Amino acid sequence: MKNTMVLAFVFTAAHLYAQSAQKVAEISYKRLSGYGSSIAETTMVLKNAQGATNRRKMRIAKLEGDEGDKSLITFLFPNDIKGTKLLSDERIGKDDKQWLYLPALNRIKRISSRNKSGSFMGSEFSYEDIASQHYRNYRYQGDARKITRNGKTYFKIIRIPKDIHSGYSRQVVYIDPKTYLAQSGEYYDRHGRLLKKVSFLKYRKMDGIDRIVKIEMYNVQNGKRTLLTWDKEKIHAGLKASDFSKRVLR
Amino acid sequence: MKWVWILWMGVGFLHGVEFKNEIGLSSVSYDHSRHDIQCMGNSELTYTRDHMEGKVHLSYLYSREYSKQRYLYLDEFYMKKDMGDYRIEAGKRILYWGELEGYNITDIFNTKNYLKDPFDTSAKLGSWSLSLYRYIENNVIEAGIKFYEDDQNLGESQTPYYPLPLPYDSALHTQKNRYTPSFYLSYGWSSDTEIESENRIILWHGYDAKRDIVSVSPRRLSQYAYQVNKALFLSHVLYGDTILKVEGSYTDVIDYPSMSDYWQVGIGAEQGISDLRGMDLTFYAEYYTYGYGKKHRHEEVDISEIYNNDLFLACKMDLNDVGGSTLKAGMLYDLKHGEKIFKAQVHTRIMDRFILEMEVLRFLRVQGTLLGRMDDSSRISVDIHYTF
Repeated sequence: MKNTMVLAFVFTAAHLYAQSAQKVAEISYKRLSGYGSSIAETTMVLKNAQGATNRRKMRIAKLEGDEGDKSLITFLFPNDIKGTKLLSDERIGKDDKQWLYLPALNRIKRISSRNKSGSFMGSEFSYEDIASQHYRNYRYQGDARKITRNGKTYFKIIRIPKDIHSGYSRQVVYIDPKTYLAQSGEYYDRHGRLLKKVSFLKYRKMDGIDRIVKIEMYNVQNGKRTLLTWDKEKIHAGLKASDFSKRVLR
Repeated sequence: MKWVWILWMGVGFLHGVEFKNEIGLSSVSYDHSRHDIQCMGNSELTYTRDHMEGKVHLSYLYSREYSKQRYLYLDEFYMKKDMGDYRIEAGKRILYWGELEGYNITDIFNTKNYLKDPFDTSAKLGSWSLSLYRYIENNVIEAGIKFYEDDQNLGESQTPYYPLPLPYDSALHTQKNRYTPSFYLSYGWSSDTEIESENRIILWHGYDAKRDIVSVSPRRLSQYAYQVNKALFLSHVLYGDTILKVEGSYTDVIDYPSMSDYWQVGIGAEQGISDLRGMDLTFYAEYYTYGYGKKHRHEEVDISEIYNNDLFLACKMDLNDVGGSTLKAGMLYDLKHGEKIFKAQVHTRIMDRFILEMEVLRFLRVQGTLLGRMDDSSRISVDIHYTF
């Protein structure tokens, strides 16, 4: 009996110590959730391997949903694409719906959301990188292992996109075990080669919710990097589903 | 004019007002016509407050060599107001009715801006009009009136790509008064089943976007607008990662014997390939045709319709570099006459605010067709634009 209790304690302790990767991902996702809706102004700085830089500015409106978020991205800078809008209706387990509004033509154009691996505005972020990183969009390999990198401890989780059209074969994400906030990650291309390194550089707390402030995406294959910064953000912004219908595009 | 500029600059300080401006310089070479330097641009002012938006858009072009190609147009000047499930828009507006990329059969609302570029069907002039929209979830019912038919300036016989055999008088001749309104009723709906689609039907009564060409004096030609009843259909279907598109129309010509009833159909497919060595590629294939509903056909009306039994093949390559560079190349192949139009464009952004563009246009034409009547078969242009 004593031996059985010791064994049960050891198994329980081991289980507690090694949480499942999915559970860690779920907690991490929920730390950033609960904002209802948000409006943010963002800046993206693109830098090529030679050091040349270009800027993009966007206004991003988002609405949380159980079956996927809705988002409306309005491009503000450079001026030649000012007023261009991208409306996305994310549907977990299905293809998302996406429309692009081209102000020069006054045209709303449906776009195929299957090209998720395509570059977003010429940056190192792909369309799937800027979509919500909902934990249900991935399968997870085993437990979240605690590892030490550069003197810091992280949960290391390995997630595999469920979407067969994803540009990634797997993603390794390093999560702070105290805050459950992702700190960095390595994304592997369809051939299993390391493609990008992502650094979640800064978070801020708003009404008890952690919100990302700065992300850098570094493409190890072409040497280009993009820094995405949320300059201003308002959460619980009072947006409704009707603020994300096609009619708002024009 | 001074007060217009003072007003323009003054409203910039108002809350909810946004400006968007572009000014450009273009060097254009033709194989026969004189080399030209053009200055062009546009200015846009948008005012947004609560559920209301107003917009003013001006565009201009100054050609050094071709005085008849110069213009300053007030393209858009309208207000729109959202009221729950309703929206009302009134003023001088440009609407886009289309699905296809190369040529839109159903894009009939506005007059084309032929002076900007006769081969760019997206260049349009605003039309004084009013529309009321009723939104029902993802569907929309729309009713509208176009109040006025605009003149279309084609330049003069010395202007490159002038299409007519005689000098042209831009004053439009109409079957009824040019203030006789045109009406439309539209219903757009989407299907969200196994195969997703978005569809639209438009019923039109009023002046046709096609025009007859009539002789107004022994040595001058002019456009003639006749009245029609028209049914338009637009749709796209998502099939896997391919977007299939269709545009069609049937036109019943009212009491104008020179023109018989006619139909038009365009079909197309768009296929994208992303992340190909860091680039995104999109391929387009489209086919357009039209026919006449009655035996007699008015050949001169064909002049407003070069897209008959034509195949359009094009490719767009986004390089995804810091300059947002794109390469576009396309061919319009007239299967009936064997004519081909090739067009290639390069576009890149420098230091965020400058846009550098280069375009090459080339025809392989045959005698006796519309293209065969034009002086030039090649055009190369290099443009630089500044946006602020």
